[in-house]
Amino acid sequence: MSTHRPPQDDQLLDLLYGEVLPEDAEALQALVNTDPVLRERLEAWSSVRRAMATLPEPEPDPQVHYNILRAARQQAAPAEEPRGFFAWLSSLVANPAFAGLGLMVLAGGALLYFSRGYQDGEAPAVAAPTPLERAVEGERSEEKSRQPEPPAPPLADLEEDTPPEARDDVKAIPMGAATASEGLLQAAIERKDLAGRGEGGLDAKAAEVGDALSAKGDDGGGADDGDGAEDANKNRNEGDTARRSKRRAPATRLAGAVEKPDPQPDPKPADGLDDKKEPPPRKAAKAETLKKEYAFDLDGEPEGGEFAPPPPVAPAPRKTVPGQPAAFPEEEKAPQREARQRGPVPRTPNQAAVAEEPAVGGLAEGAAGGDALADDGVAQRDEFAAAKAKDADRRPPQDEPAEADEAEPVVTEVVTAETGAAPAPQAAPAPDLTVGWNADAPAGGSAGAAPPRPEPQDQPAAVRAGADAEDARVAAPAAGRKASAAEVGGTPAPLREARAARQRGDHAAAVEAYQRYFSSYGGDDQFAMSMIEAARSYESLGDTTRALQLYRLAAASDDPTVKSLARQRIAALESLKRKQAAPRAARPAAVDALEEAPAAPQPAEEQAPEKE
Amino acid sequence: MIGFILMAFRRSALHEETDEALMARYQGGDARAFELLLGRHERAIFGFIYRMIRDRELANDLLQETFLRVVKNAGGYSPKAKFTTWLYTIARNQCIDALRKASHRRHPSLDQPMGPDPEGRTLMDKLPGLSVSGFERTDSTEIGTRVEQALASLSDEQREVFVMREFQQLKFNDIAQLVGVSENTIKSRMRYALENLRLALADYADELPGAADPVPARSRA
Repeated sequence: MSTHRPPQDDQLLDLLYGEVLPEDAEALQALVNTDPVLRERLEAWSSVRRAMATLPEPEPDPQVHYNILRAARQQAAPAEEPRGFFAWLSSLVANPAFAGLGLMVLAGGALLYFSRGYQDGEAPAVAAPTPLERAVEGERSEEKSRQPEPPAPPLADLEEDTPPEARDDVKAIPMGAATASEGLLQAAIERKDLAGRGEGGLDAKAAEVGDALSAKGDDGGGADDGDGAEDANKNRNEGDTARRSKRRAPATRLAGAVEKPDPQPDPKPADGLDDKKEPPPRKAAKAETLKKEYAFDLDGEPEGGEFAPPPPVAPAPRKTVPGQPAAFPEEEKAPQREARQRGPVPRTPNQAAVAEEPAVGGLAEGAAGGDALADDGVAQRDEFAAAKAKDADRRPPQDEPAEADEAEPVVTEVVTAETGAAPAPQAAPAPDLTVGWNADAPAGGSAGAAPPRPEPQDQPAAVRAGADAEDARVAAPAAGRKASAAEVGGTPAPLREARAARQRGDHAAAVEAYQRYFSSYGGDDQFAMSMIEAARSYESLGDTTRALQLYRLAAASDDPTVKSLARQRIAALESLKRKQAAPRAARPAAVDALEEAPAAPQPAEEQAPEKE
Repeated sequence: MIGFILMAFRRSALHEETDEALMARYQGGDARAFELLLGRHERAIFGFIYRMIRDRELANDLLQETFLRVVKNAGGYSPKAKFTTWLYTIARNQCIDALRKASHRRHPSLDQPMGPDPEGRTLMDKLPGLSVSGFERTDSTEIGTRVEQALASLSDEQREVFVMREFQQLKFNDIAQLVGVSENTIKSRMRYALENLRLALADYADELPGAADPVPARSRA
């Protein structure tokens, strides 16, 4: 080995390890290339580096790692006290017990979410009028009663003044078309609301409702859907997961009457529904029963008649009346504000007749009123939740167990609906999907095969003629959509059933099926058109008021075809309504029947000025 | 769920921070910052210690002791100093102490200047050669083992410089600061280390895999 140390050796090392400056690299490389001694040395060192590359990288003992970490954490422990929300959240999540509990809650919530058909982006069925809601309506009714000419007394007032036995009798009254349409309209409002808000809106609204119920007390909790829901309710106030469980508050509100004993001593004899005495299968059965009741409230009529009828008051439709003053200032839109300045608009035909046409004239504008419906729905949901929170303490707690008891027997029928799969069309045979729902229209493909549609006796011929024409116009795009195989496969069973019923001319059954569709599905491309169809069925039944409300909802759709159809029908029906308003006797008998229906709750919007 | 998201977000933010920032966080009581630091440097420090003392168990002990000293002396760490320099200084001191205790320094360093002149002739310059003899070659059949032996044959000063530069990827300037000598001395030790290794592995040059080309790409240009 030469002891001579050439001056380039340091630079050669830099070149070998890449530490030479970029501007010197080329000159040095050129020097190495021209000098065989330097080139040989560089090659020899490179071979050493290649030899070193064969050595495996030694691995330390994992135990050392943990020892070091433990020591480091102990050293940092005094300064690592939880600071702020993030530290608290981290410690909470890091806790295995909480993590396991959270996972269970999430799993249960996810199961419930998908079993309720949330995967379609639709809302839970919230239209079930709980006793709390009825209590809220009762207060509104009281205020309404102070007005010069009150409408029919609300049921909530009757409930307050009526002993429980009498109330049960009232509940036993079968639901009529009015209640059915109220439930349908409520479901449609929920779809509209949720379609505009998305999932986040769902959570927020559910949280509000849950908060309102939590403010009331423990009776808002309870298990309604098995263990997962029980966990969710137990952890209602713990973080985001619990807020998700609050979304189901309306349903659990009912379930709470079953699962949890009333905090106040119940004068009635024990019903055997004590949570502690109840075996788990019975609890699950009750939960399913309550779901059934819950859906039943939306649907308006029970299937099979095995179980008790739902609460007779369906408060939803009054929320959908366009032109009503908005409940909350932050949700208020300009058209609503104008409508408020014009005064409250009566909802029922009777109210319309009393208050006459100034406000209804605003409704006749059609498009404006229809466009405001979605915002109306949002505001009214907010108001509803706020009213729950406000009036929670006033609700009489005795009326819940009775509802739960009545809902108990039905279990098995709900299971299929709750699993998220579309219920099989058992009541009606599967319709020919290529024909479509509007086969009764003049242009329908199998119109001849369908039985003749029963002519509503009280419906004016002009209305019916217009309805038939609309059927024909709606038939074309709908039939075209149904030609697609994918959409045929994606048509929900209730919608198919409803359309089959329409094809048969059984509009009552069609309305019921549409209710199931609205309560279980939504947000799809057939939703808006299905509202038109449902409205057509209502027209066929002579219920122009419900039809008009559905048309207004459909007028807010994004589908131009649906919107155009809805606006035309709104204009036609409003025109007809104005004509009928003057001679009261000329109104359809169905409208009169609706006015005589027991459920005539006050519009929710009438509370708005007081709140503001 | 939000907790998991927040934790993931926070961890990803920590991963992007420098060693000095993480150390500052640990000074503030954030144990997760130290966990990240440990994950970054644990294997490298262990490799350095193991190649210096060639004893796995002792290397584990020294690794633990090195980081425990970091933990204990975290309050005295100044973010102005480079964390790796500080860390390797602690590890090197641990190695020196261990080597002293094990009496591994039984012979003078080959590149140690023989006279008062630090740049003067070294013992290696006087040796005729350190080529591995034939009988040594027959003792080991695997190249890896032979390379280990060649590396072990280096003096502690040469080995530490070679290990730091070759395996730990420390720059010559950083090694000079760490060892406390001039950069030229470091390069001199490095040159001797390379020459000794070349001679020790000369008989195996043909068997070495040529897959890894240690010459940087920009140098080849």
